[in-house]
Amino acid sequence: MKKFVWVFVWFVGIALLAVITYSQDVQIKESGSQEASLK
Amino acid sequence: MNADSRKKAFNLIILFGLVSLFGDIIYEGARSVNGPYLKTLGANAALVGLIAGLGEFLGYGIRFISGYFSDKTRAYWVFTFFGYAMLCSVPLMALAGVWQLAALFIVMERLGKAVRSPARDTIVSQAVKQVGTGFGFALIEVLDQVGAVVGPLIFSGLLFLSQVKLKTVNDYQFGYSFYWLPFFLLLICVYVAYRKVPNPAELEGLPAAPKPDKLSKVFWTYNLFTFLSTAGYVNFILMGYHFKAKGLLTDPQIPFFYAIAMAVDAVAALIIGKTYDVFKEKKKNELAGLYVLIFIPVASIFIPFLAFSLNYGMIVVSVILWGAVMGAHETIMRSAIADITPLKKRGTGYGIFNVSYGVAVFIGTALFGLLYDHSIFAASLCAAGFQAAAIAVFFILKSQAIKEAFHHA
Repeated sequence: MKKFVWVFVWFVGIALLAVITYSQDVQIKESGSQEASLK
Repeated sequence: MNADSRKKAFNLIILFGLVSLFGDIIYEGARSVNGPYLKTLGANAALVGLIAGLGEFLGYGIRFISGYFSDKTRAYWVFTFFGYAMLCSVPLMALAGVWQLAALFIVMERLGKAVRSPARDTIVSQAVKQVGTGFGFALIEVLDQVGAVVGPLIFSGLLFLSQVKLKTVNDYQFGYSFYWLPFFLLLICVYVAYRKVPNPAELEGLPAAPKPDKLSKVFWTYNLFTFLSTAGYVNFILMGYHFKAKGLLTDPQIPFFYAIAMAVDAVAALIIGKTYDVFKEKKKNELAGLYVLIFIPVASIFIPFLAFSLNYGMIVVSVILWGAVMGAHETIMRSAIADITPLKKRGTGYGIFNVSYGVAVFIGTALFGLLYDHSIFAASLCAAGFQAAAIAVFFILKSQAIKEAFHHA
């Protein structure tokens, strides 16, 4: 049972980090295209 | 085994410990800033990844050839001298005004490691037989890690002392030129070691009778596992590049963070190495230590997401995790080879392992560097994919190890 809890926490951790990285990536790309259009 | 040869062996170990210390001050110091230095010289992430990957690939791949020739010629000291002398490429980085030249020196430094490592390991392995294998290697490893922490700290301190906020090529070049001092001290130590024990083979007793055998299924699965988990392990050069490119850390902070990783590496290596031995003893099975390997992909999978983030706290965690995984790479990944290969095939086993490790670092670093320029998310996902595949292979490896242990029982 304890093992399954750890595996679950591990999966949730990765999923959460992946979502954060994705939203960051979108943010970087948006700010990059905004800078390009301003130039 | 007499007192005189034991004393000789102990002196040789201390001298090689000092050689490792100075060597690590030089090349770990350089590795901590090579990423930001290449960025300052105008290289992009794809180029940084390609250069680092190529250097690592040659550093491991060439060991197979240099090991063969050092065994064949028995000129262990010549290979050791020549390999260490190639460390001059680090202080020479101070003269590299263009990224192409800096790249050449980075690759040259790794080549030097490939030339000297098998010959030096042979000399050391002959000496440690006199004082105890575990103790001998631990003594060298401790001095080695002291150098790995001090080297980046020197660079961090030098960059910190420079008053200008935005570091220029000159600031980095001043830092690199400082490494002439440990370089000459290192050469003196190698020379003294050679003068003291010109023929280290005399320190080792009679070799054990060789047993004919072949590489097992577990060995090949193990290599696939290490290949995948190494390919998915982000190189610090790319992390350093990201920290500088996104303005997350100041120039002196990057080598300081590398020093933290090296300190974590030393502590983690001791803990993980000990756990590996405990598992073997507890299960009364040589292959049981392999179970500890699961730590590598399970922890590494988080590193790209944390390291390529824009959050300071996440970066700190990534550096600590990176150091812990590096500690596992340097201890259990290597010692496992000794447990899964028969004595007669050990040299070949290490050779295959080193080549596969080098190819994995090359593919991983070059690929992440290329992907990083397009999408950080894609680069992170790719690294995580490698680790997920490594976890799957780990379970195959575990079942094969159980089967083999049962077969031998």
